[in-house]
Formats: sequence, structure tokens, C-alpha cells
Amino acid sequence: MTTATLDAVPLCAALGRLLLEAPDAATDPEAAREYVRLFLNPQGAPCPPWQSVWEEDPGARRLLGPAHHGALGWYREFGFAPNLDSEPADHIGLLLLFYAMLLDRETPPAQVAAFEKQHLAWVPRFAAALQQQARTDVMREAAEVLGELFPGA
Amino acid sequence: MSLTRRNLFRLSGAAGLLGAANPLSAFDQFFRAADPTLAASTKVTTCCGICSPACGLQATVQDGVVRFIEGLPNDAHGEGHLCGKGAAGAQFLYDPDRLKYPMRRTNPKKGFGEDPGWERISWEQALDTIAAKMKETVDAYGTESLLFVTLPSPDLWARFMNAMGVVNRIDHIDVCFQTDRIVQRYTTGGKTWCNDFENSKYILLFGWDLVAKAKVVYANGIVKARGNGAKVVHFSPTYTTTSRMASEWHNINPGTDLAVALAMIQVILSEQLYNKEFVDNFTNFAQYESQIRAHFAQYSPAWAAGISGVPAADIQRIAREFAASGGGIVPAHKKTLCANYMNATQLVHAISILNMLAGTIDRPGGRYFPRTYSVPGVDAVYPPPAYPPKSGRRVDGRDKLPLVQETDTGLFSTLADGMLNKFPDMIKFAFWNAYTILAFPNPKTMEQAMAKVDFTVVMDFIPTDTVTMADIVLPSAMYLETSDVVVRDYNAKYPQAVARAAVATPIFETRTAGYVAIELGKRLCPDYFKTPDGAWINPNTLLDEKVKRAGLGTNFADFRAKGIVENRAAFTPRTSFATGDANNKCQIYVPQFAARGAEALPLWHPKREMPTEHYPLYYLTFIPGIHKRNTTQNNRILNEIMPTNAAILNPALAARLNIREGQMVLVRSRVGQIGLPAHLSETVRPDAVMVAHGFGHQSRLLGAAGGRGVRDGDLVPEASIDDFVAAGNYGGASCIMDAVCSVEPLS
Ligand code: SF4
Repeated sequence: MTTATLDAVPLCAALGRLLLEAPDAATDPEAAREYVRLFLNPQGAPCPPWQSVWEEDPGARRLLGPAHHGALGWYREFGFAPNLDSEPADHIGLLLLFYAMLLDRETPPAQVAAFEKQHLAWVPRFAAALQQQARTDVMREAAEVLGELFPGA
Repeated sequence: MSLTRRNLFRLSGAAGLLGAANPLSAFDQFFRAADPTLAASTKVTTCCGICSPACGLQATVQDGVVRFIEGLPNDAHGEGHLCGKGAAGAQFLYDPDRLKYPMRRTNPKKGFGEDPGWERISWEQALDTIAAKMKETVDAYGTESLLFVTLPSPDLWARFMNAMGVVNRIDHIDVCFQTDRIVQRYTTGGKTWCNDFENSKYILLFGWDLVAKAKVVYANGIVKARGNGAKVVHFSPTYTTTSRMASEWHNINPGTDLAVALAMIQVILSEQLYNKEFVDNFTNFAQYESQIRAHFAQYSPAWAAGISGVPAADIQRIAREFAASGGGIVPAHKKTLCANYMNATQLVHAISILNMLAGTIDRPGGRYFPRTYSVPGVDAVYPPPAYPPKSGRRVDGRDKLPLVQETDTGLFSTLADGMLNKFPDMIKFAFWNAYTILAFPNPKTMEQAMAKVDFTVVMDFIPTDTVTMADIVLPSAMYLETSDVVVRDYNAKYPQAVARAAVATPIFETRTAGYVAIELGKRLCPDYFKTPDGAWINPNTLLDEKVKRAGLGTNFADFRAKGIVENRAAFTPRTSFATGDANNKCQIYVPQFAARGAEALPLWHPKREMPTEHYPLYYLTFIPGIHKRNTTQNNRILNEIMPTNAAILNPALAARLNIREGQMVLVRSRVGQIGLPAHLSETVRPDAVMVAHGFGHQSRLLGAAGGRGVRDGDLVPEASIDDFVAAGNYGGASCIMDAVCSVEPLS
């Protein structure tokens, strides 16, 4: 887990946006296909970007599981809600953006640590999967940075 | 943290954020200010949509997400219970592998080993492309070149296919209840799913493992029947949960149920044991008595014993007990060991005759017709312009079987043969809606047939194998995300209607087939999708109108608030049966069958495949109780209970072949082979191998089910329409269990 510092704010925000926004196929078809292949592939995405899908217990893996409700609870507590109604609240991009906001506001470290524990503990596994699966430079770099930010236990 | 300049630079270039004046501008883009109060959870009444009884359920919903579902107390169908599939409903809804957005293939090469190079597209782009492709195809090759593999529902979807003049629509009903639908239509006046087990005195079950593998309503009915003292007799070549619940189990030779049923009819007729009051007044027995008696005289219990392995004395005794009970019933169903052999049409005709002889058609303890609300379809609410005639050739050859042709369904079993051999290159455009190729006998041939189609659209919930072959994929909404009026017809002595409510907020960009129908309709056949005042049909207004006209409420919201609407009117038995008989009687002898080249009375036919020197064993398949055909294996909860399949062998057979528990074995038939672990069980006969259906989804497709188990269908020969005609299979029984095999240990 990261040593939360203000340095992480722009990186988490950048990564959050990168992982949330599907590239436009008209302007960058290669990036668009890579995004679909990694995250939305109808043939089984290797890096599903939702925390609920990374539950330790395979039988509990699903969309919109307890992690979604947990994330919504955090957002609400700080007076926010995600803009995208159709996107689960535990999408890695939303979690990273929210985390950046927590750091930026200089939220008490205990609270930041609680958020990390509840919602970012799976990120090292996700980063490792992304590192292994990414085929474009941008996604490889993103995975590397994510792995450095969240090196795991 | 040690980030290099290279990382920072690259990421900055990609995301355009690092170094920006406000690094949290992305946060403002993806979040808005919101009320910090926690959303309360609510309980919403709706109904299950996995199979047709639509058991009532209550969903606990928070923030538009279904957190828990349970049976609805006091509901006549589930009686407060859900089966395993129903209870795992939320896991279907939130399956991580659910299809989420429309996708377009970018790699033109199709095949299970190919990466289609999916590209996400908008619904507009998807619909425009599909409409253009359909138009181009019809203009160049006519409507016969379109193939729709889909049920004809919802009604808006059926309207679209009718408006386009689609002639080749195929659904799975032939591997399900088609034979019974054809037979009941002409013998008793219509297919019914209602069995009054609770009041039955004697229940005869051919094959059907109804307690484990069916509906909550039937399992409850059998349990109540036993509690009320009814006798249950089960004929089945495997010992199942139903066998255990039964008073008697008979280990019948596979595919010979027809012989036993014919002999029982012979006993009841020759010993004058039938219900005279019903048979004389409400069947055409008197009119055809001499033909009927002469016909069945040939089928003695001794003859049936020789074929079925059930002792003649037992057949005779059971026939007598059944007739004397004063309330016997013989239900018939589908992919359940008896109904899917080449002789299944004759079997369901014999079953229907047994019910008539018991005198329980639409009577207490028997098969009865549902008392229902009449809910108008879209064509009644907004009458369409005349539909174009359906012209063109039937790719499955259905037109060679006049009784099947009347049903307006299609034949899964003969589709691959039609596409590959009879009419090669005829199908240019295919639309698959929620069907996978695992549903077909010998799916390998279906794969080959699909690969030949120029353009394929697949609409589904999850990425089934079929999706691999698609040019465009459309993500489908599920029953917990959609609204509808559901009329009950499984335990319906009085009318009941339940509001299917969209309890969950639809996630991602899933849509219904009704939406696709309207949007394609606007692009291809706009006149059929307008209301009389010229506006486009609105599905919500249509739903309101249906509710109002059926007398269920002032609009859908009003109906939804009620949840279930019932009219507990008294049950009055029918005295008139719309079979086509001039006097509106039930028909034991069916002249309409004879007029269409079929059998007026059921004749003995053997099953298609019998053990041979090379393939000395019967091959039996079954659907496990916790699964619905081949569509639920990716559900993480159900998958945990049963993740894969095995070759189930009797220990005596295993000992003879030196096969141990868990050892890999090779099972072969004349069309294929499968390798899987052996599981030894006394529940299977020593002359058979049994394999569960629904497994063997291809590896890369589904997170939980992909690559697990083998396809049972790989050993079941597909059929041609000529095979059906030659075998007298006039009801198009699909033969999806009709195979024989060999087994040998591997290593
Ligand atoms: S029997 Fe099971 S799957 Fe069918 S409607 Fe009832 S709960 Fe749903």
C-alpha cells in the first residue's frame, strides 16, 4: 500500500481518468480495441476494473457486490455521487479519483488508511494482471505506475 | 514510491492531466455533489423470469441494486419458495462477464480460436449497421436468407419478424415440448402445463425427474400428493430423486416407455377399466371404437415386457391400479429421458390417451387447462397493417412435417443439416437471441454452419459460445431489469397475474429485445411501429394499455403496486374440447393426424439408436436440477455447487472395464468422442453411460464456466429432415438423447 503523500494526487487522478474513459475508436482505434480487450471484452476480460469482481472468494465474485455499496457509502459521506449512473461505484477509476480527492483534502491519515484497506487492497493484484495483459505502451505504463503506487504487501 | 520521469511523461501524454493547473479536474468530471443520507433498502414484489411458472419473489433493493431475493409468501406458484436457480437470480444479474456494451468485430476471420478484435460502438451505430445489413441481404437474396434463432417473444419482437416476413425463425421448442404441444392440441384441445397433483390418486411418471429437475410448483405438488396418500410410479432408466420419492421405481430400458404405455392402454381397454362416464361423453371413443380396440390389441403386457424389461405382471397391475384409482394422471414433459427419442411423439399420444381413459382431463387430480386473464398483445392494442406473406424455403425442412409446420416454430435438430447440406449458402444473415450452440445435437456441425453465414448478430446476457461467431454483439437486459405483465399458467385453477417489475437499475448499456424491435422497426418497417395517431409505439404506454384492457389496474404503476392480481372464481370443469372434432370431444383416434400423413393412433416405434457391437452402451444425458439447460453454468453460486460434468457409470461396468472413480475415460459415439472423469454410481444401469448437459462452454468465453466439462451433445448425432420423415417422427421429436456409445479408460 502507498505511503499516502500529495505526490500521489496527480498520478491517481490521471490513472483514474485513463481507466474510466474508453478511447474513441474513430480517433485511436488501437487504444479503443485495447480498452475493450482488457476491461470489457465479451470474451472474458482479463482485467475487469471492478473491485467486486476481485473478491478473494471466487464464489463471491460479481458485479455490484458489497464493495459497490461500500464505495457509494464513502462517496456519500463526503457529499458526492458518481456521475455515471450505469457504472458500478467500485470501478477502479472512480476509487482512484476519490482517493486522490481524499489525499488532496489532507483527510486524516486514519480515514485514508481505512479507505485504502476497504477499497484499494485489491489494486496490486489488478496492477499485476494489467502489467501482464497490456499490449499498448500506454496501458503498460499505466500498469507500471499503478504497481509502483500500490506495491502490495 | 519511485516514479521515473519516463513514467510521468508517458502517463502525462496519455491522460493529459499531470502538470495541469487542477489535477483534480477529472474528479469533478466523474463526481457530483450528492445528498449524504444513506439510501434505505426496500422490498419489491416481482416474479422470477428464469423459467415459465414465474414464481413470485421479493427483492431487497438498495440504491437500485438487488441485494437479496427470496420467495413470495402466499404465492400459488412458488408458495414462498424459489428453486436453486431462482434463488441465485441476483448472481445472474451481476455476473462479471455480463455483456455490457454493443460491440463490433474488427477481425473478419471467425472461429473459436480467433480474437474477434472487439470494438465498442454505440447502440445507434449497432442498429444502423444491422438494419443496413438486413436490407442489403433481403434486397439481394430475399427474406429466406434471414435466420432468426429466437423465441417469438416479446410481442414487439414477434411483430418485427412478422413485418419483415421472416420465414426462417427457429427456437428450442422441438428439443423441449413440441411433441406434447402438437399431440395435446388434437387430443384434448391445447397444450397445458397444469397438473393437479395435489388431488391425484395415482401419478404415473415416464422418465421425468420431476421432483429434482422441474419447477417448484411440480415438486411441491408431488410432495403434497404423497402426503395425501397418492401412489407414484416412476419408470426411469436411472434412479433419480423422483424415483426415491416414488412408491415404485421401474428400471425401464431406455427409450421403451412407449411400449409400456401402449400395453397399459391395451389392459385398460380390454378389461373395460376406463372411466366410462368421461370416455363415452367427452371423447370420440364410441365413434372409432372398433379401430381403437383392434389397434391396441396388438400390444400385450408380455410384448411390452420383452421390449422394456418391465415385468408383464407389473405392467398389468399398474394399469389396473391406475384405472381403478379414480384419479390418475400421467404428465408429459420434455428433455427428460422419455420425450426426446425418435418415438417421443407416439409416446406423448399414448400418455394423452391414458389421461383420457382415466377421465381426468380438466377434472380434479388430472391435467387441466389454466384459468387465466386475457392480456392483449401489441397487435390487439395497435392493429398492424397486413403482414407480408412468409415466402421462401424452410432451412430446417419443417415444411415436410405438416403438423410441425402448423406450430410456427422450427427444428434445432435439423438446422445444421439444412444450412450445410440441403440449402448451402441460403442463409446470409443470422440473428441469435439468447441461444447457445450447446443446445444443438452435435454442436460441431452447428459451428460449421454458423461460420458460413455472412453476417451474424448475437444478443445475449453473457458471452456464450455463440458470441464468438458474431459480427455485432448486443447486450441484453434481464428479467430483474425489465417490466411486464405475467399471466400464470402452471397452477392456475383461477386467474392470476403478476407484475414483473424492473427492480434493478439497468447497468451499463443493456437493452431489451422489445427496444431492438422498435429501433430496427423504425429503420426497416416504420409503418408497423406507429400508433394510429402516427407516433412511434412507446413500450411503457403499451404496457399501461395492456394492464388496463386486461382489467388488472388503471396502468402498470397501479398494477405494480398490487403485485399480484387474482380472481378466485370457482373451477368449473370443461365439457367442450376444441380439438377439431365436430362434436368438440377429446380425440383418442385423431383423424387430423391421418389426414396429414401421420398416425391416427400411436404405433410402436423403437428409438433411433440401439446398442451395437462398436457402441454397446446406451448414452443418457440429463439436466442437473440446479441448472437451466445450458444457460446458467456461469452463475458463480450454481457453478460452485456443480462446476463440471463427469461420465457416470455403474460400478459393475467400471469394474469390468478397469475404471476407477475419478479416472479419465473416453466416451465415443458414431459422431464424436469426449474425454472426462468417471464417476461411479449405482443410480445408472450397467449398460449405460450418463453425462450432464450444459457443460463444455469453450474456454475463453465465460469466467466461471468456460473450459469446464465437456459437451454432452458432441456424441448425439444430428438429424436430417429425411431421417424424421422416414422414421415416422411426425411431431419432429428432436432425438437429443437418442445415442449409443462406448467407454474406455484413458491411461
Ligand atoms: S421454478 Fe425456479 S427458475 Fe422456475 S420460476 Fe420458479 S424459482 Fe424461477
